[in-house]
Amino acid sequence: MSSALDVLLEHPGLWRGGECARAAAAAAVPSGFALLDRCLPGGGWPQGALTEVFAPVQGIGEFALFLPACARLTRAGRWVAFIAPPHIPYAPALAQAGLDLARLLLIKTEALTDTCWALEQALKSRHCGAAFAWPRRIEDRTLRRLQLAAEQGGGSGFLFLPQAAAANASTAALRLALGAADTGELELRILKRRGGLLARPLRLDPRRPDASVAASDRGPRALAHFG
Amino acid sequence: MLWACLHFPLLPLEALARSAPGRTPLAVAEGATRPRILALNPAAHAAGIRTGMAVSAALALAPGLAVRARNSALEAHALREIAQWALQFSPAPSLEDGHGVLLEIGAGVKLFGGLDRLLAALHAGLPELGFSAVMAVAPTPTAALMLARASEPRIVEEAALLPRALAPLPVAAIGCGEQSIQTLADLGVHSVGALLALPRDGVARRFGQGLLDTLDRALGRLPDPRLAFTAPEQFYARLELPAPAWEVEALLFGCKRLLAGLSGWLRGAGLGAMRLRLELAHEDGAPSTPTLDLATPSRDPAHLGMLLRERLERTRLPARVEAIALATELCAPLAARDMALFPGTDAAEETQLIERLCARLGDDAVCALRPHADHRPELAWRSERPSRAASVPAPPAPRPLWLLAEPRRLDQFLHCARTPNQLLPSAQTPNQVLPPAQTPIVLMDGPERIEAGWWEGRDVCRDYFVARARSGQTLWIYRQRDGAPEQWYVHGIFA
Repeated sequence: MSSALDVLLEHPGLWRGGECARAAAAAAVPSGFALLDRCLPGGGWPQGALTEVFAPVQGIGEFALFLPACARLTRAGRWVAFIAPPHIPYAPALAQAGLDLARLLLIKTEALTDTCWALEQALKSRHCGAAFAWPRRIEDRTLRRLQLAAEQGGGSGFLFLPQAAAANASTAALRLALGAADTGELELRILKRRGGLLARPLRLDPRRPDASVAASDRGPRALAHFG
Repeated sequence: MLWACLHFPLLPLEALARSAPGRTPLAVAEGATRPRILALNPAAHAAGIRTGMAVSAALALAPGLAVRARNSALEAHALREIAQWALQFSPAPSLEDGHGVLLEIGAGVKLFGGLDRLLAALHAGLPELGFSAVMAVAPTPTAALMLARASEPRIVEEAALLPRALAPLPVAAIGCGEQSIQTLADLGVHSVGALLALPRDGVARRFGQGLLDTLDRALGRLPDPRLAFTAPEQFYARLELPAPAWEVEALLFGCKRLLAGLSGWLRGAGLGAMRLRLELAHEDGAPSTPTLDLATPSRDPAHLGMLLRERLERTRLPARVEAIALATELCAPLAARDMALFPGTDAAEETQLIERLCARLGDDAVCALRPHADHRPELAWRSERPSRAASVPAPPAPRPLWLLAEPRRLDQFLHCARTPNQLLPSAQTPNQVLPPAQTPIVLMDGPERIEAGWWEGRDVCRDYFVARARSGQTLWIYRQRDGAPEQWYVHGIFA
C-alpha cells in the first residue's frame, strides 16, 4: 500500500506544497550534500541561473558549502572563476577540497563595474561552470543582465551579498541566508527557490560533504523521471 | 603553372586613404610645378573631378576636396603588405613595378578546393585590407600582368589560348615605354594582336630585342623567372590616418585593415600570434605602444579585433594618433585547420574568456593559483598565468580557504567582525596554551608548529591553531613563539 503511494508521489506531474519543483528545474550541479540536494530544485545548485548568498560574517563555512560543486566542475574540465574575492583564496586549502587548480581563475578587479563585467563575461562563456563574486551592492538591471548571461552560457553564478540586501526582491533563481548554529554547523535558510518554500532551516557541516557524492566524478546529475 | 596578377590602379589613393571610410572627396596629386590629379575616391568623382585634371581646376569644382601629395614610399610599403597577406595563397608572391603583385597559384588550387574558390577568397580578402584590385589569371606571369594592366579581369588557364586572349589588348598593356607606344601608334599598331602579326626581324630592328622577349615570355616561348618576395621574420604593417584621431572607433577601423593583413601573413606562415604590439604615433612625443598577450595562438581577425578594442579602450592616449602600426612580437605554430574532434570544444575558444578579461582588466588581473612547496603559509601558494599546469599535493593539516594578505591582530579582527565581546570558557585547551582571556574564542585544533625560512631572513616561527569565535567564525590563528607570548594573530578564515 505504502509502496504504491510512493510510486504515485514520485510521479512528475504530481507536486506537493512544501516540496521543491523537480521537473521545472532543468540543469543543476550536485552540491555534494545529499540533505541539501533534496531541497534544491533539480537536485543541486542551479545551472544557467544566479544564486544569491547572504552570510552575517565570514568564516562560518559559507564558502566551503560550494567547494564540492567547484571540485566536481573543475575536474570535469570546466572553469571556476573567483571574481574579486574578499581575501586570497588559499591554494593549499582549495587543493585539499579536491579542486583542479588548473581550472581555477582568480580575477582581480577594483571597480564594481569591472566586477560585474567580468562576471558577465565568465557566465557567458560556455566553458565556465561557476563564477563567484562578492559585490558590495548590485542593481536590478545588472542582475537581469547577469541572469541572461548565465542562461546563455549555462554556468552557475554565485553572488555573496551583504545581509541587508536579502530584504530586496530579486530575480535570482535561488537565495540562501546562512548563519552559524550553536552546534558549530551551518544553518541554511532557503529564502527563494523554484517551487514551494522550505519551512524549516537546514543544518549541515559544510566541511564534511557526503563522501560518496564528492568523490564521484559523474557529470551533473540527470533528473530521474517516472511514468 | 598558373599565375594571378593583382593590379592596383588606385594604389596612390588607397595607400593614403584606406584607414578611413571615404565619405569626403579626396584626391591624390602628382607633379611639382603643375600638379595633376592622379587618383580620386568616388566622392570626388561624383563632384565631377577626373584624373589628369589640374589641381587648381579640381579645387574650383569642389572646394571641399582634400588633395594629398603622392607618397611613393607608402605605396611600396602597401604593396609589400599585400604580398605579406598573399602568402596565404602562394608561397612565393613577387612584386611588380607599377602597382602589381604576382602570385603563383597553380600549387594552391587543390588546397583551396578549386580555382574559383581560391579567386573568391582573394576577392573577398582585398577589400578587408582596404585595396581594390584588377585580377587576371594566366599561365605565364607576363601575360597575367598584361591582362591586369589592361583592366581585363580574365582567367586564361591554357597556354594555347593565350595569343587569342592577348590579341585585343592595347599596346600600352605590354609596359614597353611611352616612346615605343607612340611609334607603334604612328605605324597604325594599336593592339597586341597587330604587333604579333608584324615580322619579328623588323620589330627587333625598330624596338630592340627587349619587346620581342617580353612578348615571347607572355606567350610562354621563353622562360619567365620571377624574384620571390621573402616574408619577414615578424609581421609589421603601418598605416597613416587621414586625420589625427582620438576615438577608439576611428583607430579600430585602421586596426581592422592591419589585422586582415596580419591574419593572411599568419595563415601563410602556419602561425598564430601570441603577443602583438600596437604602435600609435602621435603628433608629437613618443608613440604609445600597448601590447596584447594571448593565452593561445590565434589568427582570427574578429577575435583579435575584439581584444584590441578592449585594450584600446583601456589605453590612455597622451595625444591624438596620426598613424597606427601593428607588429607581432611572438608567434607560435598553429595548425592550418582546427583538428578538434567535436567543433566548439577546442582550447582556443575556451581561452578566449581569459584573453577578453586580460584585455580589459590587465594581464595581472587574471591568474591561476597553485600550492607551492613551502612551509611558511604566506609563501605556500603562487599565482601564475592560467595554464593547464599539474597540481601539487595538498598539505595534510587543515588550511583556511581565505588567507589574509597581512596577518591581523586577533582582538582587532574580532572587533572588526562585530562579535559580542564576551568571555567564552575554553573547552579544549591543547597544551594549556590559551589565548588572552579577553577574546571570546575556543581553540579547536592545534598547535601546528611552523618554523622555516630562517635561512633567507624571512623566518617564521609560529604555533597555528584552528579556533572558533563566539560569532561562529572559524579562524586560523597563530602565536609568535619568539614574540610577545600573549599576542595572537589571525592569518586565515575557514570560510
